[in-house]
Amino acid sequence: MGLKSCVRDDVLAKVRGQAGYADDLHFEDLLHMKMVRSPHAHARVIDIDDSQARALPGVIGVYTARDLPIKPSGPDRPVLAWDTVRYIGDGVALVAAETELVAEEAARLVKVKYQVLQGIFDPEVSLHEEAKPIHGESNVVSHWRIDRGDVDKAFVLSDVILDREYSTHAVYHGHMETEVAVAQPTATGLTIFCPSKMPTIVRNAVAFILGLKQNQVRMIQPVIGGSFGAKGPDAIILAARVGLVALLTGRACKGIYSRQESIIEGTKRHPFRMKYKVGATRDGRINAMDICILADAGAYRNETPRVTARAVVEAAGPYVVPNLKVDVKGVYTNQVNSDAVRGFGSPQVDFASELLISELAEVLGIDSFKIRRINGFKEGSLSATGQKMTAVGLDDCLDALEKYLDNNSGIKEMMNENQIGKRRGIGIACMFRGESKGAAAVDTAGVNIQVQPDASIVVYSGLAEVGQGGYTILKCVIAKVLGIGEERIVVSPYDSCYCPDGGPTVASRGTVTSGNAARLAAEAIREKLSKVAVAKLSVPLESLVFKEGRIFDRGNPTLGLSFENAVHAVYEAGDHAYGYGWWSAPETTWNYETGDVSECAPYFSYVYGANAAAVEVDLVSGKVDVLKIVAAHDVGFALNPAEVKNQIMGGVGMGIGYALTEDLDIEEGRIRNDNYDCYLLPTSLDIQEVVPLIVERAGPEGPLGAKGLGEPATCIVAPAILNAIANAIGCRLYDLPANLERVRSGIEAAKELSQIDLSLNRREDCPDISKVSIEGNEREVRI
Amino acid sequence: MIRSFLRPVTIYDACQQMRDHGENAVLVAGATHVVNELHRGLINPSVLVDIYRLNGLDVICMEGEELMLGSLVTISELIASSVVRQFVPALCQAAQSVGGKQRRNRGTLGGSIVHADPGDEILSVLSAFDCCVVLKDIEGERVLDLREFISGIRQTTIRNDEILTEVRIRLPERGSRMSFRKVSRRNASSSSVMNLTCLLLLKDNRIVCARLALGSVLTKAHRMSDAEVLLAQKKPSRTLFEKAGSLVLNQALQEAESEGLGIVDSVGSYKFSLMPHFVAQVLTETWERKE
Ligand SMILES: Cc1cc2nc3c(=O)[nH]c(=O)nc-3n(C[C@H](O)[C@H](O)[C@H](O)COP(=O)(O)OP(=O)(O)OC[C@H]3O[C@@H](n4cnc5c(N)ncnc54)[C@H](O)[C@@H]3O)c2cc1C
Ligand SMILES: Cc1cc2nc3c(=O)[nH]c(=O)nc-3n(C[C@H](O)[C@H](O)[C@H](O)COP(=O)(O)OP(=O)(O)OC[C@H]3O[C@@H](n4cnc5c(N)ncnc54)[C@H](O)[C@@H]3O)c2cc1C
Repeated sequence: MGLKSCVRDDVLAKVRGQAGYADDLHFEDLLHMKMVRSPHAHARVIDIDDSQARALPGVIGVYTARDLPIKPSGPDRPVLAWDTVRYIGDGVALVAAETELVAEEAARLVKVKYQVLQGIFDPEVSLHEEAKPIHGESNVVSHWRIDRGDVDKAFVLSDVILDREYSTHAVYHGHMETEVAVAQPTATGLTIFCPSKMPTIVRNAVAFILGLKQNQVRMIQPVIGGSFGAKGPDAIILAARVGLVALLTGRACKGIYSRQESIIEGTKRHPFRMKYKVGATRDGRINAMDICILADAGAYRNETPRVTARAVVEAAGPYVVPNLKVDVKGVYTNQVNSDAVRGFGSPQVDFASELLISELAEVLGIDSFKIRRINGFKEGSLSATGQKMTAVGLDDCLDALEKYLDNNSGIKEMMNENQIGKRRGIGIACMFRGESKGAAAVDTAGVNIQVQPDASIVVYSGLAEVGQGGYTILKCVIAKVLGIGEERIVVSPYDSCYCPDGGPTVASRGTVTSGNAARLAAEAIREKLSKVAVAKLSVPLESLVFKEGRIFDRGNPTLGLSFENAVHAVYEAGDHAYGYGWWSAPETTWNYETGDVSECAPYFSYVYGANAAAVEVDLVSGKVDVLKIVAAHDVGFALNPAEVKNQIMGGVGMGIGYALTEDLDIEEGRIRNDNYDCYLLPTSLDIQEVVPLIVERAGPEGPLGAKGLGEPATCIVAPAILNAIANAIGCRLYDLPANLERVRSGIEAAKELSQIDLSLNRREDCPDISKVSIEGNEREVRI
Repeated sequence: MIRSFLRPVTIYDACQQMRDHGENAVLVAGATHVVNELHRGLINPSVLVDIYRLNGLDVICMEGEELMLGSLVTISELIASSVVRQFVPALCQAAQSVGGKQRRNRGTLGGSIVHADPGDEILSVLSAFDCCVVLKDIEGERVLDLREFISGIRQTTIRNDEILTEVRIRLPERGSRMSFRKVSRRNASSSSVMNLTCLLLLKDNRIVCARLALGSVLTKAHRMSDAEVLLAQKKPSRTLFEKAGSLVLNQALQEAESEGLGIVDSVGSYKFSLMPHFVAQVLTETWERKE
């Protein structure tokens, strides 16, 4: 299966404390930047009095939007607000001072007079006719629709109809390193040091904001301390802020957010409200679905159009739905901004579709694997947007998962070990997900490989190593194409002076886009070396093999030359051994004009997954412990199996947090749990056993058939857990997170439904867990 | 802004320095809480008086029927102590459930008591016992019952120039069974949503005496006397424990009202809805424990 595992490129420096993060860099004569942020969710800025702040010794300057070369306008988040603030955390002014403490003190001394305006904190209110638009003419950021078949008629013909509402919440990325940037003035412009998931885009945006040419801004990427979807727009804005100070003062300037600042100002996962109606026949076939979704964009546009685009495509799940209506709107509110968080619109709709299909299975008395197989995509199925699906790995994932549960998991035994006052349950969920950016976006990446005269290799790429193992993937691909060991290869840190654009490291696209660019670049080198080998060995091109550091004749392996000698020969002939690869994704289609995407091919490829969760619920407190997660993911071809497993482990951890404990407590736009003492990421004691299962159904585009995995790993953990909770307590929850209060009220409701006896029952009076009655139906729970 | 960081070598010096600097000074032990307050701008002292390295305040020993604990004993030391484990196992249990490892290694018993958080696990256990604290200043010392010492949510009757030096716990009769349980949102580094310390002394399958201390519900950990009275001299049974649970709920509701606490928010109603079951569960667990 796949290639041999190799140690991730970035980890040794990280575990040895040698990784250079932005906060570790030293600069002469450095200024420190601190923000003055709006305490109001919506207000007009009447006056900014900075006299006291400027009078403080050590303060160099206080700057506002008036100091920007271009007036910020439109629905994109401004570096500094012009005259209106739209959420708590919007930047109003910034202070530059000799020390961080002085900057902080000065920021407190800047007196801003506001005229408080009515805020909108609910996306439904935002759509009311009387609601004032937060930007422009309307509060609708984006609106996408699908309308296929005849939904109304199909409902009439259905034996069973379920009408359900689901909600998901805002969560924070939880990256270890907070946002940070340093700007240094140079003779021609600026150098920016900033950890970001999209260095080239940050460079371009900073140049635009500060009125510079792209080649006047040099972007250097220090080691990134985690992203999970963050360090996109937040990085642009921070880099532009310190860049502004550097340009105005001629001195280097650094900005680093505290955890509170990061949580208050930074972007979050979109909260969704979803109405799902499904009609099915008695034998479990889905006839129709009608789906209506509202996504809370927060105060500015950010990635909302694309998050909701993904949501509309994936809303109905990996199922064939002949009659389908989907309507997804993203709307502005005066809440914190929503943007990319690992999953990017998928986890929300996966949550709804997977809870719904499991509930449908229960109601119809059909096994939960079976109902997914009945309706799931097969080779050639038509998707929600009418796209013909190929390389479908859904059944492979379901098979792998079911086989594991049946044969060797010990889960059945585990389910029967009920402790007093606790109940165990198991649930599953599955998914499909569009690869890479999709929706007709430009989707390209470049990689430059330079084989040195001594045959060692340096790789230049615009991919951001956010800890996902992206650099290692490049090495694996190049090593495979050139038939050499990875130890020969070094991936250069990113510097916009010499690294090509790799696009953003988002959308689980790194493996496919930069991986393909690396393949192309390596193939260019291979071609050069082949020419030399053909001449030296006098064998035809077709019979050359690149393997184990040699180039040899397939028919006569002793006839060959070493990789080194081939490289020397190239240089001796006055040529170079450099290779350049630029990969552009196959065309995808989208309907930006009308928003009706019923006939589109929005992604060039899709990935699949199926997860199972085993949970234990404390019937008194409602506390849920996740005993085990089994996660099958189709990665096409495992370039680095160890890393595939690690991605799955990490993704599961993030999914458990999403399901149970992570919850931004926001009241009228104010985040109350603004630090890790109250914002509860799962700890090692909350993530128990995780079993990753690697499924390989080669994708059409990825290098060697590989598909991306970064995000899928986190998408269906929450629905699997909530299905397991329903199985345990006999009552369904429809909202995330499944916190103590919600689970407890589910237990109370279930008590009425099926008389589950609370606690204190000795082991012998526990009813058999495998028979939990739901809505009066006695049913076997399939495990 | 902090201008000086003092590190006295004797308790007397520490008290003297606190007196000299008055309201501008803050005493620091493990600093886990103080640093948090500084960071959030909730306190703004110019002087920190660090007592973490004072000698003699990290003692754990038995004196007659009393367990003496120095105020600088860390949470980790409580867990590791065989004396604590033998005589007050509930304190070990509670200590194990506190915060994360760093917090347990740094944070002190004295800091927990003076911080007086209503959800503090250590305080919940101490409240189940007859327990007093020793406070010293340059003139001498006073000994206060823990109940008098804690006056409200994160409020105590300590004066700024006093140092808490030790805690004395009067041990219950030998053979008492005890346990501590907390409800929290995750399995580590999580504060109590609710906690309960329970003590039962049984003779001939009859409860001689029961003690219940409920934490994280009222302004401070509270003894639940109505339920204690009910349990005394009864034969343990599930029905009895459930009745005790209801009494705890009633008493907690009454106290909450008299303390003027709002109980309508979702967490409040959650706490009250699970309380009787939780109490019954912990009572059962304690009863099933070995002596
Ligand atoms: C618009 C958008 C924005 C996002 N922003 C970010 C962001 O900024 N940062 C972020 O962390 N996440 C972001 N995400 C999620 C992100 O896609 C993943 O979390 C991941 O970090 C991105 O890395 P990648 O593109 O290399 O992922 P992938 O290509 O999915 O690879 C992730 C890692 O998994 C392993 N892997 C994957 N496939 C294989 C395979 N076939 N064989 C062997 N190993 C494999 C490799 O180690 C690889 O590096 C975003 C998603 C979207 C849609
Ligand atoms: C990450 C983290 C997790 C936490 N988890 C929990 C938890 O699970 N449960 C919980 O209850 N609390 C928790 N806390 C709160 C806090 O750590 C403790 O309540 C307690 O304050 C720890 O003791 P300390 O020695 O660090 O106190 P310090 O921070 O040094 O002091 C706390 C207060 O007590 C005073 N003080 C300290 N010692 C004395 C003394 N001997 N005499 C007089 N006054 C004194 C100080 O002046 C200060 O006002 C947590 C804190 C953090 C940072």
